[in-house]
Amino acid sequence: MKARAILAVALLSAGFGSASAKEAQFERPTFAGAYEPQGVDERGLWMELDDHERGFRDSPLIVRDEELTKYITRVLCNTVGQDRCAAARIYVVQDNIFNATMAPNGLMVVNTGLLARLHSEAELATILGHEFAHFELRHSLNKFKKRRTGSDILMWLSLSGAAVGQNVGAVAESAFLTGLAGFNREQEQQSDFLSAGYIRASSYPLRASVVWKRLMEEDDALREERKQRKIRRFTPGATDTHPTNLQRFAYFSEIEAEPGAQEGDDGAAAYRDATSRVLPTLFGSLVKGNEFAAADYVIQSRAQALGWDGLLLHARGELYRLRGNPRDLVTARQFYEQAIATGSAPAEAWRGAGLTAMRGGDSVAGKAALQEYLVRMPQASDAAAMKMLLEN
Amino acid sequence: MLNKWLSAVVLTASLLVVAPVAHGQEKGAVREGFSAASLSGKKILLFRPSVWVGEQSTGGMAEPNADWTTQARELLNAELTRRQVEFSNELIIEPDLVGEDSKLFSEHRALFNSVANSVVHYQFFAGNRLPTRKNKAFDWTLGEGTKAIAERTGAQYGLFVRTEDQYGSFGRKMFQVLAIGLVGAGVSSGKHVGYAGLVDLHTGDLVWLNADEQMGGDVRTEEGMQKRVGQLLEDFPGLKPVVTAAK
Repeated sequence: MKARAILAVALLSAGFGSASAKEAQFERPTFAGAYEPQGVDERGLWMELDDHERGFRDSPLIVRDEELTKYITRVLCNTVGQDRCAAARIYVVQDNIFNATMAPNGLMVVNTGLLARLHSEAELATILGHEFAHFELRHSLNKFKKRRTGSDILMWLSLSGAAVGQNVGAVAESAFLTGLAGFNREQEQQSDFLSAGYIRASSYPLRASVVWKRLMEEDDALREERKQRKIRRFTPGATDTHPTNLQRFAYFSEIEAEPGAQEGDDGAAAYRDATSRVLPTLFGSLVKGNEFAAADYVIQSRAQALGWDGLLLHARGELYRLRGNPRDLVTARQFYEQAIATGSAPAEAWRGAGLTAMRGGDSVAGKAALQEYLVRMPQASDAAAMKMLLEN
Repeated sequence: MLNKWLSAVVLTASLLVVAPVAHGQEKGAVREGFSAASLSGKKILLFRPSVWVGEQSTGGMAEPNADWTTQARELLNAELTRRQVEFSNELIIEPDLVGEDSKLFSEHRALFNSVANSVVHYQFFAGNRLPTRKNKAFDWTLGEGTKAIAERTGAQYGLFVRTEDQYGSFGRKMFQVLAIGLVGAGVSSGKHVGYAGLVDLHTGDLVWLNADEQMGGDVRTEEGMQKRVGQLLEDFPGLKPVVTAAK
């Protein structure tokens, strides 16, 4: 029985093998013209995703801001080169999670939660480069093939086991699942390294480790708020699909220490200008979410790197006002007033200032602020409710 | 003893194959008060059919095939056009749009798929009927948002068609034979699902739905597609009583 189980695991790992052995022969395609997928499996995947994109491009979750999309495309082109970046079609999606994806056919999704957490073009470049590396290395296709080979072997193993009265299915299945996860982690690491390679060849300095460091700090902040144990692991779990944040921080730090890796303009100022304009869109779902400490960490770390402005202060005010403890309303009012003082606050800052002032027993200042809100935004969807507050 | 291992293999197989078991289920329904008469003289808008054709691997994974899908889509369009004469209505094809209009169409295609899936799983499938759907009339709607589509196209009804075909690969068929021969475990090979539905665009109500999780006809051939479309449009209230060759 034991021997059979070992055989099962051995067979399955033969099916998985090492990702790098085969893919070392990968030749970078020239994206000189329109690339057409090759072979039944790649053509099939592209067909599926092309069909998906037909519907996806009209999704209400997509942030329709041509200027922002063009800006991200420009950063991608600076990263992977003008000749190759045209293979990607970028869609910014309203989602507060730190993530981006690129499908085999060139559909690239960038979450607003990703843009909210980054501080420079160089940081954005590491993520876009990573996604582009998945695309260029045909990772989805290879994963699809691995899963198919693995599940085929698994089926035959469990059938032959059943035929001779031995249950190898359970053992083989866990080998299959952990094998897949391990393969996935290898692909992620490969993409990280290729991404670092792109950036070394570009005009950007490599600024990847700091992104993973902040993600760890954000997670720590959230765990502290929830009275949970902080977790920083150097070894991924058997079913983890990605290397741990600490691992990524460590290997990127090593590459960044290489001579010349830090040279170049990181484009922080340009990043600030391009993203401040759409700050409410980037921070909206983060502020309204249920992870107060994480959102507050993200807002503060952006301020530390790029400075406070009216929109960011207003976002912090909203975060506190929405949590809504009596003490939060006092804090929120301060942020709204600071936002107004910058001269770059949105009209909603007066609404926030008015509401928190009235709640705090300062109805004269509160009503004046609400009046100002209605002057600045007479068509606001909550204008009627605000007028009612003013009449009382 | 053997039974235990048998259940293990069946369990493993079922983990890999997520095809819903749909034996003994109702296939179609017509909304109360709707008949061929309601259709007379009205235009029908054909939404871009959803077509997927591929193979099923030994382990039960769906493997998309671009050539087969393209071919099936072409054959489906040709067959629907050929059948135009059998419809008592004018059939118009979904226009290719950009901006707000294309959003409107995409959203409703997706909504139709969700609603049709719900009908199949919670009303047609006897073993899984929701209490709110048990012994109740066929009453489903996409909502009044469809009105905008009616205004843009001048059609009163919208016809949706969806097919998904996974042909058992050689390995899957071998496995099927061996599984039944060696341990007596039944493993399915292939998957052939088709839905066709008609929506009253003025109200959004689903007035007719035909859904079959085990359809016939090889959609990769002209003859097979004729059979498939014949099955999809079975009981369609707006068909003239014409005898079709391929049935």
